[in-house]
Amino acid sequence: MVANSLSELGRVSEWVRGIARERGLEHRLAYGLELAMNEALTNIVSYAYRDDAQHEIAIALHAQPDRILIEVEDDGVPFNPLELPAAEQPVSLEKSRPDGRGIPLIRGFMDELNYLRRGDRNVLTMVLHCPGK
Amino acid sequence: MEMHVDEPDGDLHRVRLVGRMDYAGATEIDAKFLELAGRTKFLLVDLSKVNFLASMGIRTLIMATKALQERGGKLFLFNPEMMVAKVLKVSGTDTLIPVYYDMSLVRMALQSGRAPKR
Repeated sequence: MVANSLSELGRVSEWVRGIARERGLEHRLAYGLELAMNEALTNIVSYAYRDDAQHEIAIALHAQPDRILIEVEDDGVPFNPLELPAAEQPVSLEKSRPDGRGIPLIRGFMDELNYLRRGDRNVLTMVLHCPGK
Repeated sequence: MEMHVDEPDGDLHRVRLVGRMDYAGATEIDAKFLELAGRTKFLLVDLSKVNFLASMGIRTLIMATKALQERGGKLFLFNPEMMVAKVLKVSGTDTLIPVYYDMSLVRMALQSGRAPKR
């Protein structure tokens, strides 16, 4: 469980890196795993809540023989990132926004994304295909 | 994250970023980096020692680039390692901020950037 604060990102990143090391993941896969987790949490902390209350975000990582699943569950406003249109390349710097790149990055580095709304919670599952240990 | 500002080479300023450009890293350098972008015209950002780039870091780079461009300047990203380069590509950042791996090409781009518009 992590709190809805960007200050938690460092701790979570370290945890993911540790799992990637144990699994012996090659650098590019470890990077993708850490980035996806980073971006998913950043999105939730930044956009999921309409209040200033502390919330808890549940994260789980399941290592299977040929894949790693990350599951992130929050009690924020209903939001299905899969419904976002595929990001268009920005036309110009003037028209581009400084943020909004999290979902495209998750899509670009993970092999599967799944979303479901379970009661009052968003559950995002991100899957990375990787060779067995 | 560390930020090292080198001696300017004419009007080209060079800053070397070292470490992780995630939320914590971007927060550490945001103010200094934007201040630098606010007082230079041409800024080369050497990414060769950046080992992690996430959207918060991209945000800092884009804001700095906009600040420079508003004053007729340019920001160049230099020599990102493979996964950082992939982040720049997947996010579309490389279409907004040029990425170079060869200083001679940076100098050529700088020359054309300095040339008066007809």
